[in-house]
Amino acid sequence: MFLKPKIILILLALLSVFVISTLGGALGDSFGFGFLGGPMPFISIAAETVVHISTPFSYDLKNSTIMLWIAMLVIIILSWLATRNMKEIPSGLQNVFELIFQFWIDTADEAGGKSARRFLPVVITIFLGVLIFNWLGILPGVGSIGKVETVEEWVHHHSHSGHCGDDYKSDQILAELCVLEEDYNHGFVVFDTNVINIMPIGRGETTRAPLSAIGGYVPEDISNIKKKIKSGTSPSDIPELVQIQKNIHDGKVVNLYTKESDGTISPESYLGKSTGELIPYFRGASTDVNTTLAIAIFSMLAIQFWGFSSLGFKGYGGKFINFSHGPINAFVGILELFGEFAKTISFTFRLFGNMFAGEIVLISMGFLLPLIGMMPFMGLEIFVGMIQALIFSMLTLVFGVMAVTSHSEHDDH
Amino acid sequence: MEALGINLSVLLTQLISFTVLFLILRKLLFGPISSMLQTRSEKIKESLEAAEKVKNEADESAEKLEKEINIARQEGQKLVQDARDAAENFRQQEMEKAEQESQEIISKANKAIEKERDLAIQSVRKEFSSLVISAATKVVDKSIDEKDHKDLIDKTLKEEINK
Repeated sequence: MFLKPKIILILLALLSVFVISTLGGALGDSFGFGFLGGPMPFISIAAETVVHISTPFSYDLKNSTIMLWIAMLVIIILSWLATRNMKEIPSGLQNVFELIFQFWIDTADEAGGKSARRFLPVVITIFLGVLIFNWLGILPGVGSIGKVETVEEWVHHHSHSGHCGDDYKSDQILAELCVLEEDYNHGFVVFDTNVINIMPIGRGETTRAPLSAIGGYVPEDISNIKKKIKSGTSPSDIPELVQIQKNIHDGKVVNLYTKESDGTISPESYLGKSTGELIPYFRGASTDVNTTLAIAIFSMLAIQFWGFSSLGFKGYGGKFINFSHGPINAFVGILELFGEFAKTISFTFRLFGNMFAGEIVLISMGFLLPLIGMMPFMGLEIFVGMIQALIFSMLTLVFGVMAVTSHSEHDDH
Repeated sequence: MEALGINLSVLLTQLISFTVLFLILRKLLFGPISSMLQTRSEKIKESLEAAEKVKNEADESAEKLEKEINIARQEGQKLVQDARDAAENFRQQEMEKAEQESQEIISKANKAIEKERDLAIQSVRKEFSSLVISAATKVVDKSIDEKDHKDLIDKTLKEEINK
């Protein structure tokens, strides 16, 4: 029964996919295969800048902001489709949305009675928002489709931010030198081809070259050049600086370098290869701390608003600033105040941590076992994304109910 | 903060975007769906109430029907009883009447019989007296006249009958 040709064929196909993915991945790379291994994306906790605007004001458009806008668009289109043609007997999308609403109405009634229903617009917005942010972040292509930033662009861009940005105001060259000095060990992906504007196939982390090997300098050179500039020499009169600028512009590996991980010297075949930094166009909105912090602030502002509007300024504010009932109550009030900040922080990092970790797991699996490794984790991520959305909105609801419960009620018993 | 990528301009962008999303959803999604759920629950309530009303009405009419059937049954029973009583009465009366009539007929017949008998006795007595007279005459040969004879016979017969 198990020897039907069809079943054997399926098993063989599965086995070959597994073998190919094992050999093509990081494991096979150690034995000289690894033909499917993409360059290990540089896992950056901060969101990457896709577009930099300098006029009328300096603004970095992050890939997570782009994703947030796409997700907003998706939510708005879905809700428009659901409510465009409402029917007494619901069907399709209308049914889905009504199901979600009914769930939250029931939950609110259970948590705080009928009066808790006024929290629902905020709670459901957070639920839908976080859910769609999370789920869109799992889509293939998010975090992997992008452009390649050349080394020159990278140096220029980094000279605007960080503490080196302070030098930029006075002198562009000083700011760039500052970047070269500070980030001399920053790794750039080395590409096998000279065409660098398509997604390259490389060999993971091993293909990274530090900035100093691309610019052809050691950090001491930079401090010497800096001294010369400060003593009044024109930058174009310093031959070392002109050479470094040319090297950075070319963006090719010019020096051999020592790998930090195992201390080995890079192979000579890397010399002359193009380098660059991968900037994904999209990044799951909830894998950026800014987004999760923004939602947490939104949620906490709404909770404070509910508290003040239902208990009055004295009633709700008295929870935090309470000097009339002795020093212990005053201390408890201060603790409550810190508690509100702690809630914001825990909101922020619970969501960010879960989603960012999920993203890293997906990247790692794609690196270890290309083609098939991601599949089970995708399912897991869909589940985690929903659970996190549920937790975020449920906690908002519960904190809201707690905020509108009078403090003196607790003291009575 | 820098390492985490927390950046005031990005944070403000995300916060404003999320607030805009909230405002749009409140107008686009929350209003229509809440009112739809509201109207539907009202409608369900109304139809349940209507169903309850119809059910009550049905119950009421069934009760009424039952009552009427009971009344009709009682009336029918009463009618049957009456009819039965009337028939019984009628039978009784007829029987009494028949008995009376038969009694009358019997008494009439008795009277007639008595009369006949009297008549017969009288005629027999007449015949017999004359027969005896003739016979006695023949025997004694005119020892006494006819008138004395007759008286004697009557006297004898009367004695004989009253005995």
